[in-house]
Amino acid sequence: MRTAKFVLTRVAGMIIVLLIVTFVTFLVFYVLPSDPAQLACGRPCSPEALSLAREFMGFNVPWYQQFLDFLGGIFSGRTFGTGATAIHCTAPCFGYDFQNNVEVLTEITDRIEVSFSVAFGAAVIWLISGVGLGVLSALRRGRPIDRITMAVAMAGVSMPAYLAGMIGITIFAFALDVVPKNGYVSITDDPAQWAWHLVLPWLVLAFLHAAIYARLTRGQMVETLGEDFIRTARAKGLTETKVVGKHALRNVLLPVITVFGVDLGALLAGTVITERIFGMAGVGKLLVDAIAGMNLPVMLGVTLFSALIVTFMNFAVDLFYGALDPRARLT
Amino acid sequence: MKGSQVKRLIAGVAVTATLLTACGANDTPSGGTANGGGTVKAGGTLYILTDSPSQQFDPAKSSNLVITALSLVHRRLTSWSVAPGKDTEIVPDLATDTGKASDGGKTWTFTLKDGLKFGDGTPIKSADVKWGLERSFAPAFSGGLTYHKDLLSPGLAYKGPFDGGKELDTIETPDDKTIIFHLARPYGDFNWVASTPAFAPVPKGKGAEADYGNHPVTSGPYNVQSYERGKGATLVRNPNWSATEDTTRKGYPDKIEFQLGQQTAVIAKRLIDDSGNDQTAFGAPFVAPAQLVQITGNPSAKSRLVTSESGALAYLSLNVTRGKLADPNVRKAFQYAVDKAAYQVASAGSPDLAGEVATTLITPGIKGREKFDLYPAPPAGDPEKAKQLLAQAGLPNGLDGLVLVTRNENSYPEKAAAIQAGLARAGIKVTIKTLDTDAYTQEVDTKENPDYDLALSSWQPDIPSANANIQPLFQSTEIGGGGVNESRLNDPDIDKGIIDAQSSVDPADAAKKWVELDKKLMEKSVVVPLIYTRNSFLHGSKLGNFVIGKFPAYVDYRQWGVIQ
Amino acid sequence: MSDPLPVTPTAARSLPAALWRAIRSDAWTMVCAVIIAVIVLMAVGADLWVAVEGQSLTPDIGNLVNGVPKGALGGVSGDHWFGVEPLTGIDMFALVAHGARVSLLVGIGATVLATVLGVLIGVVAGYVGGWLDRLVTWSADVFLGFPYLIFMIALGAVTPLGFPRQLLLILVLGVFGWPRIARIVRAQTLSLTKRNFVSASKAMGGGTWHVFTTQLLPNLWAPIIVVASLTIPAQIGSEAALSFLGVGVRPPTPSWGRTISTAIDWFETDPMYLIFPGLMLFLITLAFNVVGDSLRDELDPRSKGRL
Repeated sequence: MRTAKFVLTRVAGMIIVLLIVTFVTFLVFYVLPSDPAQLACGRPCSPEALSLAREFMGFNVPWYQQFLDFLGGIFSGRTFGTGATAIHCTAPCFGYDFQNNVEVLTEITDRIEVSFSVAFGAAVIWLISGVGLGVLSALRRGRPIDRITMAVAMAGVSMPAYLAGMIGITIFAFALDVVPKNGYVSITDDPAQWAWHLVLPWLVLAFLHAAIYARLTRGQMVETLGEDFIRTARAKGLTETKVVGKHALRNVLLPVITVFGVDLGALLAGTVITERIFGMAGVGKLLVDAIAGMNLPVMLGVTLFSALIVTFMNFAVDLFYGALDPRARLT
Repeated sequence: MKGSQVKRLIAGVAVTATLLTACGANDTPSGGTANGGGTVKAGGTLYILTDSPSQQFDPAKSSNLVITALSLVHRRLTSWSVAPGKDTEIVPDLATDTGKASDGGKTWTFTLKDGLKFGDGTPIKSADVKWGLERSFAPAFSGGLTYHKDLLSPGLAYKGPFDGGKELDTIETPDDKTIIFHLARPYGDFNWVASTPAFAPVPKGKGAEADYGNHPVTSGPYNVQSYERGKGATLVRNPNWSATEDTTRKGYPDKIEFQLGQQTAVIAKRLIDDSGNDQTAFGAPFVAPAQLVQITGNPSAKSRLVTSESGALAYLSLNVTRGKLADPNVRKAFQYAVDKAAYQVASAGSPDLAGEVATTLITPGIKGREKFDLYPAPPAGDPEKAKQLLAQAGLPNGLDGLVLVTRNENSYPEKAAAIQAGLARAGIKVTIKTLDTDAYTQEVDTKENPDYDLALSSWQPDIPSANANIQPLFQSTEIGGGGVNESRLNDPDIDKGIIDAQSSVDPADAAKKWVELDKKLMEKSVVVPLIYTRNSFLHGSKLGNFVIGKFPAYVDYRQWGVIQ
Repeated sequence: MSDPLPVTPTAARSLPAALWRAIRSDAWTMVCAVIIAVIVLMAVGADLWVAVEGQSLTPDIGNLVNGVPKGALGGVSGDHWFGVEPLTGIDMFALVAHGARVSLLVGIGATVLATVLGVLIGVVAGYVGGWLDRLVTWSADVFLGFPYLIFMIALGAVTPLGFPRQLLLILVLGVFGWPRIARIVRAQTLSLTKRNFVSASKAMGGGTWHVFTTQLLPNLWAPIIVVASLTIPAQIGSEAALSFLGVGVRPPTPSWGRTISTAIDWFETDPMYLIFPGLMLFLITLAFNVVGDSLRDELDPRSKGRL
């Protein structure tokens, strides 16, 4: 019962958050000093042509009506124009990209493979290496390995992603020529090439993020190792591996998972900078292109989509947290 | 030509990439045989690498020049003949001639050639050309060039042929070969307008679907075999097209593949590398200054770099409605104060790659253009002379607090800094304000009373007529409301001259009138012409026949081929 | 969710003294403190140093050959300490020094705003409790769950032009930065209000403001300073990232992020163009992180080694 209530509350919260995000985003775009119809108007663009384009795109009604139309589109789809030349955007409709003649959701799903591939691969590497190094540092506290790990971690935290990316490309792709310089190969086309093209972005992202996990793990580990139940476990004569692996690590993972969920969500939502550096066309590139071309429907769609992912990841973390630590459900 | 925004064409390769599919490739004057021995022959696959995520093959939605991608698939009533060192000429394409004007330029008649066929084998009739034009009036198919619209249906009263829409009665098709246009007013350049994309035929009754551009019924050398937005498009030979009949297109490659959505820097790197399929590839985006420098130091890449001899006019508008700038004598000082040499370096590193210093408003390659220089000075300007002029105009201490607006892209901020430093030498102090493209349109071109004194921009005409150089930039109807009269000149004399020149159906007479206007405007000193911006493109070693005419500054896609 | 930045309250120690002890604690922190001092001095006196160098932000194509810097190493010389920018010939030291001003101004401004908001909201939530507390906790979740970088990019594209860019960045980064600080402050306030001295002060009829200024604030200083010192580098990084993406500071105002973005295209022909602003950005971020970290260790020894 309690679990059900917890999940329901969280789901309700998530929906409210998304509604607020939708509303605020919509308002922001509405007050934009730009007119999305302008780009669809043609050249030269007469006032008459502009108002026709606006009408066709559904921008000729008051803002609240546009907002409701947009929300309605998510549940029941939308139709722009009438008759033979009408454009249908099937539910869930996150808007229609008139510049490229495609549903915004289709554009996102077309590119999500790239963003997911980058994010998940990097996340796996940084989680394993970060936690591993953190445990190692905690166990070898004050020794060289600890100091080096922590210094590298500090550098990783302080390095802007684009600098790390540039350095990575310069060294490994150009100077040593051991990895591809850029581009993306679909996993369905060639899994080996897929991984090979992603190695560098994965390692760069992992380097930047692993630092946080290493430090977090180390701190938690040091604290945990000093606690009574660990001493008890040791006293019982359990091997060190068992003590660390079974008892201590479990305690350490809780905060790590929390940070991980938030990070992964943020990364999935837009690898804007990574994609620019490594020349990959994912959701981040879609957004940057949309901004450059003032493609409002796409900007709105991608923002909402990202909010959806981030919110969902937070939700998943909460559920996971609740499952791991029953006390958290009460709050 | 209300609210013409051709400027956007040049304004930003990245930003306007989607509009801009016009941009092409080029090899200067060489043509014919190429470096590695061998000659350009029919056959092979040519790759087009572009940063744009899509390629528009719907004539109603396209703003392509007549010599670039759209011409591979569609023909139009008229076309252009371009060649290095020569002014661009109008030539017939689907029509037997370049149109006959009557009724003082209000009525234009074209006759189609015999035996024309669509890609699907059906004959091309005059009604199909009419249908294509009617279709371009439907709100669902806006986005292309619209020069014909106000002439054929003033105020856009006509809303297209779909959903019970009627025919457009200003276009008459008395038989399958003849098409007659009844314009709202005399328009001497209508034969040039007939070379814009909407004059491509669409089989009557077809093309109601939004994605018609992904599988258009073709009339050019190629059919669209497949199209995937964001990835690529494949063009294969159209068996119903005849190279002997269509003299404007060579149609050498057997197959043309577009690789869409590539990053500009990646395209440049691949082409510099010149390996595998990239040897028959062409980069559609302009080569950026950083890569130009790199290419200049690489003999192989340098041999494959093609730079136009001329191009869009880069210019500084002086807002004549603001303070001291209302005085022509003050404005004349700007002609001498500006440092065009620094502008060249900021554009592309060197004058050779950036383009010649500009002194006229009409760009090279436009028939009837006359070269003159009312304010002779070295490329770096003559700040002393500028100071002198300012002092004579009652400003011995120069000018302070001027606002210069420009776009935040395409090195415009750097170019603006060069202008700022140049003006400072003559005691003219300027603050730079950079705006995103869209904000620029809103702030500079749309507002009633915008806050700027100087605007830095560039302009390339959509059609090779001086009309397209002068009218959009200086007619009073183009102030605000999306128009690009950025010097906000409202001069009845100029307005009258423009209408007069537009109405003339005798090209020689019209050209003379445009040159007169060019001189008058330069005497009034409402803008400072800076350079004729050259465009550079890169291609693989096994491609040849890269021709860039004097106008426009894009590679002629109709002539290139694979060397074998 | 647990806070990644828990700081336990410490007895009112002298902050300058703690800072001094933290800096002296090891050579590494000392070096980083010096780096901060140097970069801050460079930013504050940018005009002076550039005048000493004998240069300005004015373009000069005399420094270029075919658009690239004259001489080796991007034109580094006695006249141009960091070389010159390609295409314009602007002195790189002038660009970097003035860029430091923007970075620090935005980084510190946003941190101050986030801290003020975070402390006020956090204290009120923790002290008043009840529905207000729940509202705050929930709003913090909303803000933390927001894809703020993306939102910022959009917002950057929409604000009116007259609005100063640096101020906009401070506002947006600051407003999105408060939840982290509010969470920590709220947790501290909650634990403090349960303690005797605060309860006593309340019982003796002390007004809310009185309790806040005399009892809560002195005990909150330490964690606030620690969080703030670690927020500065994050905000500097955000400013650079936004400028890198072209939605931060607008030209001609110098910005490290924007210069880095342009310099990436030039990396193969003129690597020095990227190296100076890139190195500066890395150093200032690293230095603030290291000093902030030591400060926390000093104020809260228990947290040693955490981030």
